[in-house]
Amino acid sequence: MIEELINKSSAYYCVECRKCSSICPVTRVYGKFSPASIVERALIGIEDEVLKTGDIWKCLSCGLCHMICPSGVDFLSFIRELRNIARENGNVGITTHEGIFESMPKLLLENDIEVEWMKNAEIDDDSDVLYFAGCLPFFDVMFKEVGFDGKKIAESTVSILNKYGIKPSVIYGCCGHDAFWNGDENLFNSIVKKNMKKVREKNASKIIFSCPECYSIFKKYYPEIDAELMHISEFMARQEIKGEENGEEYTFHDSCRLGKHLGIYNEPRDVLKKVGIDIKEMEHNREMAVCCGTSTWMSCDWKSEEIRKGRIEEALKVADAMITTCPKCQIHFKCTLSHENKKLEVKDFVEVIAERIK
Amino acid sequence: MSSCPSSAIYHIYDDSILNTKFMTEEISPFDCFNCNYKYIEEGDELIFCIKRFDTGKCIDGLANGMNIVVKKCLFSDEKVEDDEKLYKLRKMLKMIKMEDKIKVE
Repeated sequence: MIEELINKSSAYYCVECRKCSSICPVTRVYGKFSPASIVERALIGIEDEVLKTGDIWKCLSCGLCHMICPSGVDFLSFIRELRNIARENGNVGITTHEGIFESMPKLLLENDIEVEWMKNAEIDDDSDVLYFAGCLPFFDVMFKEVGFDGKKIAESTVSILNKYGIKPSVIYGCCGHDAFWNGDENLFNSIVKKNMKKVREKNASKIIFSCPECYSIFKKYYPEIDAELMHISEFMARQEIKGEENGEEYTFHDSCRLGKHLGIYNEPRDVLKKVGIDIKEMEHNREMAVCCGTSTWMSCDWKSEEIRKGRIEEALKVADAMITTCPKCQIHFKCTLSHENKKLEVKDFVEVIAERIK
Repeated sequence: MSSCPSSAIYHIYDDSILNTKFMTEEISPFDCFNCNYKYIEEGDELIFCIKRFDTGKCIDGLANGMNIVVKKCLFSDEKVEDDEKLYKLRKMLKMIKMEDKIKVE
């Protein structure tokens, strides 16, 4: 099985240059972890060492290694498929929050999330535009104490669409991103089946996402959908925007999914600029941006904290407020900030835009 | 008599002492770390002590069609309802209309 994935991911092209390990954010804080070493061990056939250790769960699937590899090794699909095999053999990694977000999607296969959130925005169940709001209602409950407001993100997204004459229908639920990247293929396929049915029933011509993870998984790994899929920043980039110059300075944190996975760097920046925000870039920005330190609710530990602290330091060098498009990045930064003696305001892209467009 | 609240619940449901560790080592009240009681499966019920309530296990149980019972720790005056993990989970389950699947005793 490993041989097959070595072929599929072009891992046999690895020239052991170790550029992947030199750029990996996990390796930077924990030298014993090395993407190169995982590939090399697989190539020389030490299957057990690869599949039975926790190393494969430490990868953030941020994509920096994939981007820098001179041989074109697709490390992202390599690690994901390794996780598929490891999971089948009982190595399931260590989840955060007692596995609540790994288990909850199982309940969502038979049940739908129902919340009365849109009191300050207008929706229409028969709309031609669908907004897929993801797991925001659950995050809203879990992370209130660190200052995360999932409702505000969903409401802001809908109110932005309202301002352009669109009353969207809204679906909440799991997109399957974490099941996919954690190698739980059966669960992922079941989630896809359910979501495809719901999306087809809506018969929308446009599906809007505020969460980069939902967007990337729908765009890259779902079967073809007869609708235009777009992130809210892409939608906004096509609109006429009237904002006011106000001299506000923010830095922008590129989420791995919207950035390295989908290559969307300009749209959010252009839109923020149009509403009068001055973006102060961090040292590592766009494709070189460093991950928030935790992915797919796995392995959040001191390594994740160190990565986050580094990113917060980087942000504070240029601004005292940060904008991100990813709810999970926001949660992770706010979590670290809640116990660090540092002041950095973290806001979602849609919150900032909704407050400023006229 | 058991000195450990969790093992006490275990024995109430099992009518026997299964863990020899408890017979050889002294365990203090609230020494949850050393207690190996996690949960009990009884029919279609998954029974937790609030001190050892495991959210992920609870959801997996619900996904497998089980009902959840959460019991108060015998050695604690705290109310089960005050537990933050349980409070959050119940709020989430309410969003998917499954809140009645968790019973608190």
